[in-house]
Amino acid sequence: MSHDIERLHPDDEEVLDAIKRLPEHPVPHGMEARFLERLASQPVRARRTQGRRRIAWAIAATVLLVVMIGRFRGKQEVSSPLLPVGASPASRLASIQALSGSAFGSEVVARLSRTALYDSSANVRLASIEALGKSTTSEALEPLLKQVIQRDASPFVQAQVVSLVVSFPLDSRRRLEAALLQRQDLDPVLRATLRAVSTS
Amino acid sequence: MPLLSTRYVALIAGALASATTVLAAQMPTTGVIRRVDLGPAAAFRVDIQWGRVIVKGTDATDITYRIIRDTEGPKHDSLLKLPLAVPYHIETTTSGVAIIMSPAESEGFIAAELQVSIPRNLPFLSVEMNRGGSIEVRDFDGELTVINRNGDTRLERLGGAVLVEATNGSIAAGLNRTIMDKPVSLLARNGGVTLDLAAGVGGTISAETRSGRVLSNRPIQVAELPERGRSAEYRPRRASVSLGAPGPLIRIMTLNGDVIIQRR
Repeated sequence: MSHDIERLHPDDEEVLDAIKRLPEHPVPHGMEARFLERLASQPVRARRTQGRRRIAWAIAATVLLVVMIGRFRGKQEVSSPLLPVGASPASRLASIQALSGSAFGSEVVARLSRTALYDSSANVRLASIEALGKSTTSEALEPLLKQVIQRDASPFVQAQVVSLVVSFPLDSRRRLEAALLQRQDLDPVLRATLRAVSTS
Repeated sequence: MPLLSTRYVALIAGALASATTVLAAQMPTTGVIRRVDLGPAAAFRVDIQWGRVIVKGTDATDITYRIIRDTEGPKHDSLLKLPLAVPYHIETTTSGVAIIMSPAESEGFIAAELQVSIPRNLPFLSVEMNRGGSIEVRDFDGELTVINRNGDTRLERLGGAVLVEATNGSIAAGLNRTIMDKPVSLLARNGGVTLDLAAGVGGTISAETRSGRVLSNRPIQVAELPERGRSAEYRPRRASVSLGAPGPLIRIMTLNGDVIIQRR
């Protein structure tokens, strides 16, 4: 009983008083104490139900918002010139070539960077690096090219990196040339090229 | 003692002959792969270690194949070809059909000539020669991907996207006018690249050689990249050729070899 009283809302002063008076006064008009107690708790239940409704509405709104954002993002992906994973190498290549020369947003740069590092086709990786080279500054591109040099054993990709590096500012160029020359499997023709044009 | 040796030799020869007969009986040298799904994702893949692959596009709807044991290896023109057993298997997956010929290391050098006929309009064809041998593809209008480690790649009358990576070997590619907006990328590490364009093929050619020349039967502008300490013969050269009609980017790159562009 006392437990139930504690759970009542402070606003229910009348009800509280009524319940507190229960032991002192007999049940008014022949009503049973239990019935009065249940009656007294009704406003609290109603308030609880209202609270639950609000929470349910909030959850529903959140879910709706998440779904809408997801749909919006999904639409963005579909309308993005880069095809989703699963497209054929030629489709991926065609998408990247279609981008060439345009200004890239951060999403496209991120996608091209991922493609440059992880695509299974050397043709596609090469095209990604070429596209980034045309539309991104050397400062922004240097960290990616460092990763490409470390990861990629394809001579074609390495050749593309060499082509780009030649036009970089001196400091950046030196660092990338050194990284390229450190690779044991660098193609002899590329090694000769780098040694011939080396700035260090 | 000599009699015993002769007996052993006879026994071994007999066992080998029996094994070969059994293997040949189990592994047919010709076959038909029916029920090829010609949907938008249909693919056919050839994955072979040594030998020669010849793929020809036809108007039929089946894939047919013939495998010939090549006892002389892939680099001889006058091959001694025998219809002996060659270890191979056919894989059918959700992404298509594949003929895979990858003998175990214990089986040693087994070269084969694989002749395949495929539907000309199959969406995807992928041919991979992992160790040594030549690849030929003719009359194909779908998307073609070729990876050739050691050997020449010869492509004729292609009408779709073409992506080639050749490590040691030349590439000769003939393109039909149907390529339209499909990309073409021919990459060779050690070997020349010859591109033969049918009349009416549009697009832009981006050709580059790191050590060699860029040649064409029509006048083209070739930029020579200045490099300190290198003789003129070995300077990188680059050419961008507009074909006068809209079309795809046709990229050619070789690190060591000439690029030849033939326009009809």
